[in-house]
Amino acid sequence: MIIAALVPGLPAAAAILLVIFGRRLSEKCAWISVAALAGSLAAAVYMLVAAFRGGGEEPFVHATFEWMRIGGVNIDFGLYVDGLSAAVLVMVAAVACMVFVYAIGYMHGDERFPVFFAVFSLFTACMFGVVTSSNLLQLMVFWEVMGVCSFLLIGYYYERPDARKAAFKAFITTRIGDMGFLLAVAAMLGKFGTLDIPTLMKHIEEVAPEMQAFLWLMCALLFIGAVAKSAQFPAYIWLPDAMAGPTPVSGLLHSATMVAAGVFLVLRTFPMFEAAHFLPMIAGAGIFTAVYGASLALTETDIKRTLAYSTMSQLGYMMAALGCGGYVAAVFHLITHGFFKSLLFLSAGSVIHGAHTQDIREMQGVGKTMPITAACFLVGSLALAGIPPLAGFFSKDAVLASMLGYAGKAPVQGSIILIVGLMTAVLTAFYMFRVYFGVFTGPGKKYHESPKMMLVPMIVLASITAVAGAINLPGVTLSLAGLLEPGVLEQAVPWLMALSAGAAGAGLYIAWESTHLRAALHGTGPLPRNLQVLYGGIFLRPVFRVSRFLREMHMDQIITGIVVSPVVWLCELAAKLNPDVLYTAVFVNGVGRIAGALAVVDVRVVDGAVNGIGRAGLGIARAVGFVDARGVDGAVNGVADGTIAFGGVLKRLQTGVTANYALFMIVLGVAAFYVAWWLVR
Amino acid sequence: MNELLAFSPEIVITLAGVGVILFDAIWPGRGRVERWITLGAMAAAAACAIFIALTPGLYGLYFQGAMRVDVTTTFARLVFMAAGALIVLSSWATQGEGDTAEYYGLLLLSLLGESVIVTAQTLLVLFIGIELLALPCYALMAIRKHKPGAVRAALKYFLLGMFASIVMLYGVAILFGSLQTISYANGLFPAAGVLDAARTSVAMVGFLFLFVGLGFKVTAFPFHFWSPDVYASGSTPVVAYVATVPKVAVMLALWRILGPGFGAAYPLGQMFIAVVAVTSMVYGNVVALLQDDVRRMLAYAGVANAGYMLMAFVAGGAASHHALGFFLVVYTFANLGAFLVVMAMGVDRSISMRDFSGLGARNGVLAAAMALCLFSLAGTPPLAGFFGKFALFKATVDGGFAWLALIALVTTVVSVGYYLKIATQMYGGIVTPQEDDAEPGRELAAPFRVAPALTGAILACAAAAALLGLFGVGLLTG
Repeated sequence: MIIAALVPGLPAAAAILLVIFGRRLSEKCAWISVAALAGSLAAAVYMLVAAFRGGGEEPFVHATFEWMRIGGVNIDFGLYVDGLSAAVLVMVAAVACMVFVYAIGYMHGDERFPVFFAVFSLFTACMFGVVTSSNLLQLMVFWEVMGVCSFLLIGYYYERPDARKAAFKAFITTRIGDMGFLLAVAAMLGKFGTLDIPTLMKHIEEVAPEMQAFLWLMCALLFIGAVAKSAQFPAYIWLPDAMAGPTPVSGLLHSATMVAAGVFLVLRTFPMFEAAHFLPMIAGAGIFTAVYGASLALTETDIKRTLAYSTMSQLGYMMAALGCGGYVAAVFHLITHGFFKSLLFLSAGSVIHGAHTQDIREMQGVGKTMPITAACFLVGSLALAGIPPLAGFFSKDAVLASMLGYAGKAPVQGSIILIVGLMTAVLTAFYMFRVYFGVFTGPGKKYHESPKMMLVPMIVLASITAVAGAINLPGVTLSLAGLLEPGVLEQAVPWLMALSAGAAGAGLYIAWESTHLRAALHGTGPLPRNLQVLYGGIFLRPVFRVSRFLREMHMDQIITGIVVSPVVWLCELAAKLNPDVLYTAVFVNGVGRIAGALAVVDVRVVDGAVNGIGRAGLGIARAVGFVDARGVDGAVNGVADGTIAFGGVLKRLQTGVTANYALFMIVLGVAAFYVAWWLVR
Repeated sequence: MNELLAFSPEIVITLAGVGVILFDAIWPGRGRVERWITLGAMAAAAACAIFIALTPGLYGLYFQGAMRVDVTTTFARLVFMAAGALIVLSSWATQGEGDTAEYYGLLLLSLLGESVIVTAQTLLVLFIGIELLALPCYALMAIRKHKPGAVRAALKYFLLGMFASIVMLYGVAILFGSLQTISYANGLFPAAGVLDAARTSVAMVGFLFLFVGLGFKVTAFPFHFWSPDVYASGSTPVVAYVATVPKVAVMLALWRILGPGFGAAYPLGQMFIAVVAVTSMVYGNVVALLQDDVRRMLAYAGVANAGYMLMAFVAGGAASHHALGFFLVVYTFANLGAFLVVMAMGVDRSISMRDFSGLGARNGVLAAAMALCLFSLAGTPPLAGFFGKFALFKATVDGGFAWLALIALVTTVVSVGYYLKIATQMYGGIVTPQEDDAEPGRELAAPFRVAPALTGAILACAAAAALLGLFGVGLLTG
């Protein structure tokens, strides 16, 4: 119980210490965070071991105490750690530890260094809180504060307009999803009178046959929240822009933690999704996101955004696995993906650090002078592509196996999902190695290898990535499957393994060929022999064309326009009418509360009247000021851009060409008629 | 004899319209006399309309049931004449730029077309009325030939208008085929269950085609595309006219065609109108929010307002009919007022939001009138626009379409945004002369003078937009 409380408690304490002593300690303060995280990691490992001892039958910790009473209903505050939480905790703590060390090197010399680490620690504490929460309301509280922290972290370089905009976009988009989450929580509290997760799940399994429709709606609402947080289509729009934040932020938030929280929510409430027969929806949405994200990554030229699209695609993979009933596969992939994706982000950050650009077209031959970074990126790429024997191969195979299992139950949908999943595997290997070959191989300029402080975490993560596949090897007693679903033995499907490795190999080969082609076109290499066949339109050209087409549709702008900009616009209106309304409407309980909490600290700090602490107060005041002014500015800018994006779509109709108008009148008129017919049918 | 009496307003207008043009042919260059003739004719027509309303026995069907004179007709005639008179007043100083006679003559003839539209009781008479309205409007749109883009705008208006008319005529043919009648003296569509399924489907297709023609005139999405382009470059008094009066006529005619029970009997047609209404409201309001050119903004606001008006047809029933009538009057005067203020700001150039900056200080009367008109359009409580919208929304909710009213309500909130944009410019005192200003030397702080007749017309519109709510209260309770 106490050990479980340490996991989120230590980073939270570190955050408070940093706020108070950060200024005085300057860059040394980061070690407080790292030490706290190491403590969390130790506690998490201890719990994992204990969970293994217990065989996963019973939750290791399930302790609650009364938090509040709403209309005769108890809301408990508590800890709940079972095999799932323990496994995810270890992964998150390990990745966070490494990313924090890396960030010490990366953020070196930044003038707001302590503020960064304070917020970063608080964020990590919230992620731990999400994983260990025993009831949905508590989970949502951590989830929300995590959203606020991510707002601050993505918008860390707030002097840059794109970072401000990205932070705001991420915040608003996920908040829209949170509406769904909130509605579901409120409705379930009203209906079942409890939000304690194990009790709720047990209860739901009992009553499921009688209340299918209600449960289905609840699942849909929860899923909306998960979709927004996990950057699934169509709420993925915030993720690529969120790359405007510092790279360690992307390395933690957009690989192993925040985006994973959406998947974790579905995992946590999985029995409910199963009972409501909601899983096919998740499978469809997930596999679509997987292939869509991979297609977008194909033609992306920004190295971090490529990884962002890849994250979106891989999370779609996990969702698809969940939808196919592959609970263990999803957890497995969540864990391995957390490791290798943060490895990739950190390596990309190292490259950016050395090459001072994010555009992969401007980098070449980086591998010569940055060998360690190149090796780490290669390990990450191999793992992501699913080349044996790295971790990604095993988890991807588990995902595919769950799809195959689904195909046994629902032949048509299942086979479609399996085939699309395999196609995505090819695409994944392709876009990853397009980046790898393009950036690291070939002749190039002289770059400086990154400092040790950045390289060591990368090497550690690379080693973990190399062996993490072992945690779920079939037949091993201490496997993940044994932890999550005791008694269920995972069956390996050899031909599927071969197929999946083959798909990865095919993608790798195509990337190799296309890189050679690029080199040949630039006059720096020989023309590949079978180029004609490949480039003659069998594979590459249509694929690239589709990717470009998707990109040129500006789907993200359309989604921003339709979904996000009205909300932002209303916020703007509220802000215009009355600035106070902004706090209640936009930052409903997030930023306003944080600002309030910080203000409390502020008062105490000033009362303390200690010189060094006074300076910390100044730092807080600045942080609060940042929230204040930039938040409102961001809202206004966000409105302008969002509305213009939406307007851009609509304005395209107003071409000024008379013939077009006549055509629109008929086409849209008939379309309206058809919609009406469809509605009354 | 009764026919002559019952249609005396139309006869007066026709005679005056033809007479003005003949007068100019015989005694050219006497614009002052012509505008008095026009005003006189309008006053006479209005007097005749009132006389008809007060004389028992004149209401009824005429010409073998092809036309009808009733309360709606009287109501429409009075609105048309008042609006026409305001247009004449507004162009008192500028007139038709040398083509005075044609200007007044065409204006009168298009008013005649509107009267015919409202009195018509068969689809063919309706079609004649629409053409009678439209052809003078096409010509009027190009009357300021030297204005850049005016002729192009007129041509665009003409081509698209003709296209819509053709589709509509085709729809009339289809409707005749399926319903075996073109008369709507007792409602065009029979009660539910009279038509078999096949005939109903054909009739719905005919209805769609008919709606293209009517939707074009009321600028409902997606038949509105001409309006922003034409409003932006047409002659402003004519645009003010085209943006308001024909909408009233066509909406009233559409009500006559569909009757109060259409929605309940034909769910497909009802849902079609609802879809058009929703898309109009959403599209019009959102795009209006993005406009900088005020004429374009008003055009999109017109699209949105067409959506609000169409809600009445979805809900049906007597309450909707009353609400629609009241909304139409308020909309006509408020919109006319707004357009006339834009006209006062400048006839030959595009007016952007920035042109309104500091207007409150430069010409307080104009700014106040504009504010009244805009707030009335936005539906702000004490003003007439509020009662109009409220009545429409209430009728819609009562008709069982709460979702539609909800969408309308949300879009109304959006619409406040662009109306407020102008108001804040006028009173915000944000006088920001830009370096790339079209006329860098323009004094932004200098008093801004407007011709007295135009000011009078604007004030009349603003008064109507503000005070008609007094009648609205009666409407809501009664």
